[in-house]
Amino acid sequence: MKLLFSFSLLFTLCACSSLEQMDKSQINHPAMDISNSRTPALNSFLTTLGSLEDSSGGGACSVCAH
Amino acid sequence: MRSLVFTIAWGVFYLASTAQGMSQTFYTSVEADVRNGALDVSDLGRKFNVSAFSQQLGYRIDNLAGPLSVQGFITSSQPDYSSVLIQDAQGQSKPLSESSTTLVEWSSELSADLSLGTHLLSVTLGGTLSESPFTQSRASISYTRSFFNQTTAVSLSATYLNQAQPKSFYFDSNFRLLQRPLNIYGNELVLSADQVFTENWKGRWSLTTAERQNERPRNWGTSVVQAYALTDRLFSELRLNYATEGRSQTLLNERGYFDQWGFKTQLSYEPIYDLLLSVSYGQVIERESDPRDGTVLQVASDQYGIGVSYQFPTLLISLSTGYIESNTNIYNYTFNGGLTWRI
Repeated sequence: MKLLFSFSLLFTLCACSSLEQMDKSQINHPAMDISNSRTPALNSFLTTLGSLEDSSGGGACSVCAH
Repeated sequence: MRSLVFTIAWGVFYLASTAQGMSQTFYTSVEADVRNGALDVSDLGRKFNVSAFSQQLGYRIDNLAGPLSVQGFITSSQPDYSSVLIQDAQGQSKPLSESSTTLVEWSSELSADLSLGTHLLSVTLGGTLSESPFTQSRASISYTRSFFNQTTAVSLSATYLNQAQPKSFYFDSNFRLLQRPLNIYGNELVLSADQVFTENWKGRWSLTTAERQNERPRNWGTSVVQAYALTDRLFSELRLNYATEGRSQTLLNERGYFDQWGFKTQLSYEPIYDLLLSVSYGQVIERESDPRDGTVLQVASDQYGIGVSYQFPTLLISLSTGYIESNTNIYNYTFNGGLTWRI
């Protein structure tokens, strides 16, 4: 198991190092910007989990004071 | 808060007037978020959650002073609080819109990024500037380190939140009338890793833990984003997320423990250079389970989105709209339009 893990880690590092030479035109395309989605983000109604944010409109808490 | 924002803004504009070699970006957006429907049968026909119309105006200066970049934006919002019910000390409910006279709420956020080689440090301060039933202030700090010519990046961020809320009461499981806290203190920690796998595939994994301390148990969440360029004109994106609340902590109000699952798939097509058309479909499943009375409530929603953007030489125009329908007859329409002008 340790050998497999070490091999996987080495393979990943080598693969990442080789990417330094690649053409990044598609990777850097605006459509590949994963920080800014092109369509509205997923919305929740019952919960506000996974974030400190309360419900999007005006800061009202959808959990306790809907 | 207001004086702090104006002081920092003045300092930034003074530095901007003297700096050389910087680039500036103005951006503005308008968003309408309309919510309607019901969570369960007893609420049928009533508005759910808060609808709002908001506008945002922002300004960013890259390389203001060497590796230092700054950004600030101000948001005005007109929320509709008629769906937020406040319960008084006698147990009577009334809409928050009856007691809140604020029509327009203002908030702002200021951030500074310090980029030194493979290190990026960001500090952000934000909060409400005007009167609001939910005034808040927040501060966050994040550190990002990139490796292998920026094909790998690891980021850690921490956020602190202080939010006020109107005086309100609720009945617990023993039918005692208890007051909700007037201030919520929250904190959030996010660890994320970005990885470029091939010349047309990259992804991000995030682990989040957050707590609204005197209101809810701590929650834990994880999300995965994968972006893959199918051709040089067709791009795909997949987002998966899951979050749950810690069962070892005691429930602090009448609501049960929450779980949430979600996914979203998106396709973007570039028919002509710089014009981007996007469509998306996603689903969110939310569950509330209360061990005190054994109830389980589940809400699932289908979420559809469309986005269009066009990049002129210095101007980006973007539009997006979304429609959501749940199994409990909640309907949500959003519209967002934005302009970004880079000088």
